[in-house]
Amino acid sequence: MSAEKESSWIEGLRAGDSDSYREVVESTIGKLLVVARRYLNEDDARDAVQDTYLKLLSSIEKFRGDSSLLTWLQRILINECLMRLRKQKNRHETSIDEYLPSYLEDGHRVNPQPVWPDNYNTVLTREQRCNQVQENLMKLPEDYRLVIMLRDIEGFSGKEAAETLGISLAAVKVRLHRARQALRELLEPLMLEEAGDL
Amino acid sequence: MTCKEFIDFLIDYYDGNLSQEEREKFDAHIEVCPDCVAYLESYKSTVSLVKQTHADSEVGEDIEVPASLINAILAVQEK
Repeated sequence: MSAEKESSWIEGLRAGDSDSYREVVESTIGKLLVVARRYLNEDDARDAVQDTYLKLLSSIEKFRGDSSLLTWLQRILINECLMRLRKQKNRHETSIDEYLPSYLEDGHRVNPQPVWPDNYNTVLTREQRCNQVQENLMKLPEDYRLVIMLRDIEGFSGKEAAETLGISLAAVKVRLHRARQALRELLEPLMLEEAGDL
Repeated sequence: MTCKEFIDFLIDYYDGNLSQEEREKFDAHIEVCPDCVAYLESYKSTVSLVKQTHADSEVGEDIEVPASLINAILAVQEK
């Protein structure tokens, strides 16, 4: 999308032009729904997307143009998703420690495994791999899952993730590293099993 | 440096945030520890997989958006 097109949309939104609004919705709704589905079930994802466009209409004057309109909408949407998640927080999650590596007294890892096969990324189809990663991401405790999603998927900086989640930058870093380690532990047996099937 | 220390500070190594001295300790450990080499590579692969698999779902334009959702969203402005 060109900068001129986006400027014209923003001008139209501020003037209450319905054609501009329709064009913005049609141009962005697919991407927003994909993002919302990462965090929420289908019904909640649709509600979050709907509320995002309500916020667009009520807050367009606040859009400063620091990012693209889509990026701004995505940030609003993610806050909508996080708000819904906070309300439905599951208190009975497994501790992240269950998924972190264990160490011997001398500092070596317990049961280290070999290097993943070079072709690990070709064994499954991309859709199968995506589903596999998503399934295992969902096993992580929410506080850790959200950090890895914001940092490694949504591309938030550490500072942006900290502000969005209401935690310190140091906490973002610790949680991100633990989340990555935990996901690695979950994926490793699957990667090695696939290699054994080759 | 122990393997535990290596893994604990891996995120700084991965992000290029180690001091020269710390980086030298990491590199020295990698020279002698195949387990940590394997861990580092699988850590990088994990991050790459997360980024890659969701990048594939970024297309957006190809996904089917329910007409009822679009209509509900457009109807808001018509009120």
